Amino acid sequence: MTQLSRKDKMFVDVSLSFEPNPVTGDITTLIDQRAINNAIKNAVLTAPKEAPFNPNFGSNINNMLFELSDDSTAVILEDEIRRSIKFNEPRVTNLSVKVVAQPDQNNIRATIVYKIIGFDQFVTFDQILSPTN
Amino acid sequence: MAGAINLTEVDFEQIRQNLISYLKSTNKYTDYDFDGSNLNVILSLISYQAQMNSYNVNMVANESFLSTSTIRKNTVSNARMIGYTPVSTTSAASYLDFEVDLNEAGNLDEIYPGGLPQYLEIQPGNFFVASSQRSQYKFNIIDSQAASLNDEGVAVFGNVPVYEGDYLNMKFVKDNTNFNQRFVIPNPGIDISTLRVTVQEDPNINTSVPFAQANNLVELTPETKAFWVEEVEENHYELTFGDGLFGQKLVDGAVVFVNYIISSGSEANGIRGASSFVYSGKILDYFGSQVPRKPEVTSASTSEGGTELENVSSIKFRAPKSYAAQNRCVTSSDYDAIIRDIYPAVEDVYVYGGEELDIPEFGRVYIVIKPKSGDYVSNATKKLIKDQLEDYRVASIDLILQDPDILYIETESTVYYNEQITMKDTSAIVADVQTTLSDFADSSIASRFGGTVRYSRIVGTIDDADNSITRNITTLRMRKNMSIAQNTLASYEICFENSIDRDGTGYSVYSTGFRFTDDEEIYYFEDDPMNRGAIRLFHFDTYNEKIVDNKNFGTVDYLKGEIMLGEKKPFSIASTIVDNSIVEVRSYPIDVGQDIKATKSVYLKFDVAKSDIGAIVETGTTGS
Repeated sequence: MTQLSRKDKMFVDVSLSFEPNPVTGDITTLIDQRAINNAIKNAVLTAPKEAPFNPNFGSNINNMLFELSDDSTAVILEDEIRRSIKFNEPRVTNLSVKVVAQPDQNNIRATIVYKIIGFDQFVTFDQILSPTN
Repeated sequence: MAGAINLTEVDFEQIRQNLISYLKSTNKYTDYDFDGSNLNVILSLISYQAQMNSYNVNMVANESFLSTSTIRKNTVSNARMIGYTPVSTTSAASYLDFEVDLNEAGNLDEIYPGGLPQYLEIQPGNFFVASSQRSQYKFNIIDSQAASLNDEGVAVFGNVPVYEGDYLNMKFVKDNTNFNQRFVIPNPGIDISTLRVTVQEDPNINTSVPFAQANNLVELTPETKAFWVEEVEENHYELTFGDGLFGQKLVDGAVVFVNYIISSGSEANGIRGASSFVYSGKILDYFGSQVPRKPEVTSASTSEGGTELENVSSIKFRAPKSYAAQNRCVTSSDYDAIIRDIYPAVEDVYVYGGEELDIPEFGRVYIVIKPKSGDYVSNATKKLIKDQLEDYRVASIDLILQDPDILYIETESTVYYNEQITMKDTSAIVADVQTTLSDFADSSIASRFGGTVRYSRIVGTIDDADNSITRNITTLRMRKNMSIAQNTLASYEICFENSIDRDGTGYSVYSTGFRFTDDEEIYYFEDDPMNRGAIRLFHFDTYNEKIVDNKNFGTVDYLKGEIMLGEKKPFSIASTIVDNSIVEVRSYPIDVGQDIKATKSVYLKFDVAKSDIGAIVETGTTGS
């Protein structure tokens, strides 16, 4: 996996919506912060062994689906999300993960704050985890 | 500048790296290196698909060739392209002589007041029940048999072949409107040599004619009534008929009747004795009436020839050799390939030309066959093989089928073991050694023409039989079974084809006991340690002391391993101590550590049952 120490290039990814750019007609691209947010989302929402020939990629949060929606579950999720991002996403540093259970809405809200290596500003990424996702 | 994408690798990671290399060259996307990126998801998907395609192509390519295919139907299909039909399951067969005595109750005139019928007939599908120690088997008559009646009302059926298995039949109707019609017999385990096909060509005329199995297109005319049989999926067999040019074409509405046997393979081999076969079925007389008598079996050959369906590795081994033989027997390997087709229950075949003999016999080919069950093939089977080889042999070449010259190898072993490291007692250690040696005996190293029993291998095998065995002292000995002609003046020649020990202090050749005609004494012979080269005859007196009767009973050539008995004065033996009129002659090879080799038609057989194996607790040592 590539190790990064400073921003020396842009991060450019494709969007899996596969919608064309209205101006150029090319496929939509995700750049820098959006690309990394998307990569974090992929890493967290993919189950281990789901990616072919890469069994360690992903996180175990799907296993928590039927746990009680309370603070202890939230703590376990925080640990798992943090582990998953640290392990799978080398472009991220100064990582902070906060998970809040929202039992009334049957949701869990995950807020991930991080800094992209080579960038100055912090990025905040919110994701609602619901049973259907 | 983007280059071509290489997707021909079989390894997932290599394909992915090829895609990444391509993306690097485009400079448009950069996130291909990160596991979580969408680009990586797409790359993984493409790589996985490319790998699956490569794998499938690889497997399809493998299955397209005879030498690499692994799925049976593909191997069979590839073999078919070179004209090879895998050997089907084959029924054990026996040849029976039996009699039907209509006058058994002495009332022949009452049964047939108008005179005896001309003959008795047995229809296909009637069978004998044969019992072995394991189970009961049905031995079927598959071709109609008839025998004329003599004046005493006895019909003698001679040399009737019977085949083990279940006798079944099927019927197909030719339908010209069905372009995809196939005649597949949906039973596994069919012995295709027992297939009997008859065709009723006109649905309105109840007459059917037999069709014969063809193997190629040679000598076929548009009128030849022939069918072909090929193995198809799931070990079933498909019949095909002529196209009107090669072989007669079936007309619309023709009814095809097929009779066949589903066999148990080799299970039914080795059933012997006329009393083992009991008839179950009916016998018809000339008038078509059932005869109220059961036949009495007077003689039966030992059932033999049963084999299992040929396996994939055997097909891959034999199909190219069968193709190389080109359906003709020229070289010795041609004979080997074609004999195995004709008679699948062959363990090994040795073929040599008459010009190789000490006194050359040109124009003759000698064929030595060792069957899978038993030591020799019956005379009836030899005749069957010889008759079928007629179609393949070179004209003017005379074929002679011989029995193998079996040389038995036995061991005299004393096994030392450390009782501190095993719970086993002496008999258990001996049993372990016997089991290990039996496995060695069954291996293809020893049991074949041209085989070798290596002394060092035997010693090592015995040492490896159990962890507690520390060493062994082993001597190999050779044995020939001298089959005697009872109460007949004869001289005998026994060839070990291996040099015999001449320099030992005791005897090197000895025999089991036998009785001469008109003499109740049991005699033995051995070589004379005081007069090397001579064989002496002796018996034991009432004090169990050896009394020499004849110092020059025979001669022994130690170098050639050849013993001559009664050469100058033939003798007559009435009976032997060993069953089946056999005198066992044993000898020791020239050197304790000598390997024993089989040359020419000698077939080595490692006989564990008659080996002398003993075990002793090792003392005064800490073990191995």
